[in-house]
Amino acid sequence: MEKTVLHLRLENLSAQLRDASQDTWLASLNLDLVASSIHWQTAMKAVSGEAEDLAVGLDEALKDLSKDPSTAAAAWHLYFRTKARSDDIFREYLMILGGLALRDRMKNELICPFADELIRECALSVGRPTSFAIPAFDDAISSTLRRVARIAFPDLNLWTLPLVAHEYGHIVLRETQLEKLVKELVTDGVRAPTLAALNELRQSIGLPSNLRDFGAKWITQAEGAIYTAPQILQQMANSLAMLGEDSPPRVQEIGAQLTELLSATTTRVRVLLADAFATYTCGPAYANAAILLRLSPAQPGSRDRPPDSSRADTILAMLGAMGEGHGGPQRFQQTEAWLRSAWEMSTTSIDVPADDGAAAHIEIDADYVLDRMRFLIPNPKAEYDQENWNAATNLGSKWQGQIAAGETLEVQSSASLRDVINAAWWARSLVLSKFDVETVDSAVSRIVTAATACCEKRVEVQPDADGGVFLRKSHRPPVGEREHSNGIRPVR
Amino acid sequence: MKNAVNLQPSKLLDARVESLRRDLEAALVAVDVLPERLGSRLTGGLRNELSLALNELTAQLVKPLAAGDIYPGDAWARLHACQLQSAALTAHTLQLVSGAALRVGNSATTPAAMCVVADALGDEIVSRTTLGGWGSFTILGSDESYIHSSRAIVVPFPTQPIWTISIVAHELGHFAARSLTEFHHGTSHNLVDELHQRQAGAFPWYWVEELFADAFATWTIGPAYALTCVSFSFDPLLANIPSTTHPCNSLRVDLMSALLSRSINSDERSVATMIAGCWESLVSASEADPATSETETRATAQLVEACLTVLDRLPEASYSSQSEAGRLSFNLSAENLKLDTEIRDVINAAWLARLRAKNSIEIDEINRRAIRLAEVVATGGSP
Repeated sequence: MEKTVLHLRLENLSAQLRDASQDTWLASLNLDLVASSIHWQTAMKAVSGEAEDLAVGLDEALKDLSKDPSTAAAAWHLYFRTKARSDDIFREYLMILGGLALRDRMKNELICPFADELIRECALSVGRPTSFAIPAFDDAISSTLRRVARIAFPDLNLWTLPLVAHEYGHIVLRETQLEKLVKELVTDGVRAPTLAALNELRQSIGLPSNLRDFGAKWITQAEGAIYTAPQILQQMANSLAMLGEDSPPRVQEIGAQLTELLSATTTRVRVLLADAFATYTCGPAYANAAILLRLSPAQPGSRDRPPDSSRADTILAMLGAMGEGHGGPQRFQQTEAWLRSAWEMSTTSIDVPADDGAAAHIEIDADYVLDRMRFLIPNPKAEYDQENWNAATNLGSKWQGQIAAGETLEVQSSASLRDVINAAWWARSLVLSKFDVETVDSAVSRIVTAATACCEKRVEVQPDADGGVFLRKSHRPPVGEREHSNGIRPVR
Repeated sequence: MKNAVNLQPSKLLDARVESLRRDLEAALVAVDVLPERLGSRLTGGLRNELSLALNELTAQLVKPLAAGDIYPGDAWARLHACQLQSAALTAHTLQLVSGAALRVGNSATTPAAMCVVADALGDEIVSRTTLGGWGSFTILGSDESYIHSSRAIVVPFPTQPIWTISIVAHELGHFAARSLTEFHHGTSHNLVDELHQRQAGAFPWYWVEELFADAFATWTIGPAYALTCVSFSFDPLLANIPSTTHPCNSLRVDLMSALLSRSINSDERSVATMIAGCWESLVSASEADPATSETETRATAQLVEACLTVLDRLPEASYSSQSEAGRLSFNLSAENLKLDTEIRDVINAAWLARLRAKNSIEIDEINRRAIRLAEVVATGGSP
């Protein structure tokens, strides 16, 4: 039975991975929501590809096992390495299937289709394939397999819609020249601690006297290539092994330490750059949503995420940098000023927790990042510029005036989603500052209704072949039959 | 300056509190609109926890902020604490509603098709215990687990249905561990807590609960659970290495084999011997790290006795129809079902048939037939 157990585990896992690579499960769900095949395949490409590669590896192991039973130990090790990686794949798949099934059930819910459209606008502007959004839990764990944006459940409302740009930003960072910017910032961040560790290694490496120069040359090489220092140390260990020498323990320890530092710092840089990207493409709407509704001054950093204070600093700095250099008042000056004031007030009233030191401390130079983004993203319309801001503030101010005058709010079909959500936030800020407490709630509710109507018009006018990721097999009830209340759309 | 704006910074905290309040309300709405056939199974555990969190938020933040009775630093600290608590609850809610959404359609090929059978298996086991009622359902997830707030059982995805469904019994064991109580000496006592106390610190309490859940599964579903563990779940490479949440696998296999070897049914006793031998061979073949002096790998007789002391209070729940499973294993067809055939019998019959199977084609056929039979028994449908 023991040989059978190994065989059946290898066979089962291989079969499950092939199901993942061939999208067997999506077809069996028979959802009312039908994904356009090109969008689905693009979204699932990394997951399917990884699943197929792992299945091939398992099949090879099965063949080797059949020919030579003494390979059982190696096959067990391969099985469990593959299982660990497969668990990530299946977890991603389940999250996506569950999110789609939830979207399918929430037939009158509109935030997900709006999020699809916002992603489409961002994708067009950076020249990348679009993606789609699913309701999921914001667990702050990013996956290199993921090409689907998450909308934090149950926070599905218009005000948090801009946050999906951060999710898409992770995809853009992996798939465009912005990956270079990630490496630049990581290298700068880890330079000092890496050089310190390598210097310590130089002093204490403990090699025999005939190999000290050999070791010193490798360390010098690592010092000149900070980003690949861990790999260079591994190569040094391999070279020593070829010479019949044991690698000093300190080499392995420093190598592991630098690998961990690099990995944690890279994760943090990605989060900060995704914030920068979201601010770059969606402007003040993203800053408002993140700072007012999501980031917490009490949230410390961890291995997988920077402290929220770093994120807030990045977003505000980007907003400031984007608004400069146009002559006259800065573009986003008022928004930046009051968000900064609100954030600083909140941080002065608590003890901001210390960073855990798992990663290098990163401070984003917003001017530099903005310049690099303008260079690395060829389309200038990707940036939320003065034209966009004028359109948004004009619409938002018009709404505020119409509410004050008791008039019907204007619904524009031509406004982009980025402009509509910025208009909504602008109008909200005007209403909160000018209206009485008794009338604020109803005013905000009217803004949500008008903004939602604008977004619906925008989504409806997009041709399916170009923009629509999903179609419903069944008909959706018209706008008048749905209820809105302060942006909360109940699951029906 | 056009449309000068003056937004007070204190609005930031208000906006956060309001946002959190809306999250919790939205989570409650989401639970309330589960599909009827699943929502009707759910007791009020998760709803109560969400409502409690809402009440806590109101008492700790909404009211003090409205009255101006709280220092901003304290308010942010309380908000952070409320957010941490709510994050866990909203994660469980999402897991529940998306898992329920995946249980669509009636096709046997949907990923969640076996959840219908898994629900029925859970009901079947609980109905034979003194537990009042399970009050939940199964959903798919990345790892098998039991969610206390909603009592939902997570079945791993993807799954080999008939070969892994017995995991449900282990997860129900966690429900049983928290729920089995007896009233004596004027107070109510949790039986598994007492079991832990009798171990006098030999194992952490969460290991005791895991071992009890293994014992519960073996007691209620027979050899099928141990066969699932050895064949599909347990990692022989980590045979002698415990995790932060679970004792080492060798200890768990030892416990299950010891329980099965006490059975009055000779088939179960022989399966116990086979499982123990197979596990030792797997551990050897995978070249696992050997046990260290700090590793408790052999189930003490005391631990087995302690579990039996609790389980002996559930005599009706003990799986005792191995002979029925044996009969069914030779002909896994609906015509061979009796009126009192249970899902547990079908699962054990499938395993017995599998142990006699000559090749993987036979095993696939056994799987297919057993799933169909289990569905017939679960839905009370006609053969």
